[in-house]
Amino acid sequence: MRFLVVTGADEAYASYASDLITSLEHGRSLGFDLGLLDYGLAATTRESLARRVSAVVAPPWPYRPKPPFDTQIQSRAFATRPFLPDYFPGYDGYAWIDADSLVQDVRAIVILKAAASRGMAGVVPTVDRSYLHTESSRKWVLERYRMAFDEDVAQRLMTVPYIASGVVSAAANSPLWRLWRERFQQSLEHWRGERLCDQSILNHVVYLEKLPHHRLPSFCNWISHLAPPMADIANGALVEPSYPRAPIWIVANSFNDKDSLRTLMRTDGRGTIQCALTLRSARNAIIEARKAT
Amino acid sequence: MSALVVTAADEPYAALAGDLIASLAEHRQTLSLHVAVLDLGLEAASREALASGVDHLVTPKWMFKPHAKFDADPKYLARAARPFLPELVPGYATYIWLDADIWVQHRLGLEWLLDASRGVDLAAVPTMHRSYSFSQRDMGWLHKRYAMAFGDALANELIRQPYFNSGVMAARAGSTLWRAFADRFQRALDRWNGNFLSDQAVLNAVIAMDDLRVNRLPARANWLCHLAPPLWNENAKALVEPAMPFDPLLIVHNTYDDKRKERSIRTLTGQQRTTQLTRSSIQRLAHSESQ
Repeated sequence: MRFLVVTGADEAYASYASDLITSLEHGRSLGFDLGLLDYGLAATTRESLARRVSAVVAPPWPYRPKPPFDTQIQSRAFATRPFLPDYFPGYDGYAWIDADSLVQDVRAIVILKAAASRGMAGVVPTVDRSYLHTESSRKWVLERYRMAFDEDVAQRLMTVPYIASGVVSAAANSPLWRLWRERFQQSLEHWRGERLCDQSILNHVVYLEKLPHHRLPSFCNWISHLAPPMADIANGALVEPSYPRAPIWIVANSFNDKDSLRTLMRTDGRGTIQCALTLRSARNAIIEARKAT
Repeated sequence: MSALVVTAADEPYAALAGDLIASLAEHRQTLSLHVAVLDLGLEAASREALASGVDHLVTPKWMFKPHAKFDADPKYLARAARPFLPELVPGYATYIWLDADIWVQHRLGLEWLLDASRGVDLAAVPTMHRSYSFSQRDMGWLHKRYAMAFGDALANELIRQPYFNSGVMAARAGSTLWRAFADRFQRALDRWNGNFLSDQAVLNAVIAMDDLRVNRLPARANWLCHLAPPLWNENAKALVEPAMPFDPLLIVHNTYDDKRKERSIRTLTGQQRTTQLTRSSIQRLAHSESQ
């Protein structure tokens, strides 16, 4: 099975994308290629990242003209995800991973690949015993549903666990791609709100259009702002904060400020470490803690 | 000091309790586990049969203040006795409660309960999994139990919290859980408004309101079958989670109303098997596929 893992970045996200690629590189023996969507990289950055992936594509706005979204970098990043098989043809399956994610364990790619076989898709609902869904986080989700759909649909979607679109995989022949694109275009015709959200559309496709899918565990896309990971210093990893503190395979740095230092509890009971949820910052903080121990 | 696993059964639950005890047998020595059964109305033959496989067989008494509705019927003791396990069978460091309609498929479930109960007040399992689906009936069931114990206003608040199933839980003998559980249970009994008891409603109120330190275990340490029927892994001959990566269930909770009904479960290769979700039936299924 030819499998492609895709991420995307503009210049502001280039260092995160670089970190993500670094975190994936040591798993390349598992047999997958890397693709990059260029949403506005500087020439030198693009050149440097291009050396580390199989293909780079700068996608245009893929729908009918829709000001102001069709000229916004962020909106284009959301809008283009349903088109991966068009941008990178020739693969049997695809995974999208947001640039602000960190792959700690390449078994994540194995499961994403397995989920993307036989016409299926793999999605990660935001369901975990550690997650704290607040009124504010529920409101955030409802607002995004209301931007794309009428109130009835928004309320129906609020009754099921929200799927984050930062990590998604699907077979090339999964109906996901067509359904996602078509629903996106339909929603754009009557979009309400100043920002775009691909996640709302994905949730509609999965739940209300009965997409054949696998629901993957939360450790395949750990939404850090809902439950900050803990630091397992001995094993050099960020782990789930609930017992038995299993390793997180993909950490999504879902905080608005990606580079802010976060205080993470240590699993060994020896206090905390401070780091941003980026590859370098987390790795350095763990190394320093290990030296001190 | 060792740990004690406690369950309870009346006569209709005797066979299920026997299954549970059998599922513990191979782990007892390794984990220094003792086993107690609370007799809620066993016939002599069942009592004798169960007694031979456990360390304690105890006939509990109503431990709360007299209650017009509940104190005379032994069936309510299964719920009302849970806050008093260290008093009913003293002398153990850790107490694990397992409902009689539960069986242990994998030792790791017991190891987790023992380990997770150290340094906290309670190890328990929130009813939360990406495969679980909650019907309006499920939510109504839950709200009704909260309302019976605490009234509608508090029920409306508690129902927003993740719900812990009380069928599997572990706590140290010295945990603050026992006192908090008993106190809140008594206060709820004083104003109980319904015709049956729910220890779960009280336990969840204790977790939400009494600042307990709780270790939250994964769903496969107390798999609620009616919320998501497990799959059958033909190769491992084991029940597994019905979602990738199909991890094996550790502790299976046969939460259907009719425990003996044949269920159709899917295999990992998409075939169907028909079986009860009792340990005996699953063992027969495994045995028949090994032939």
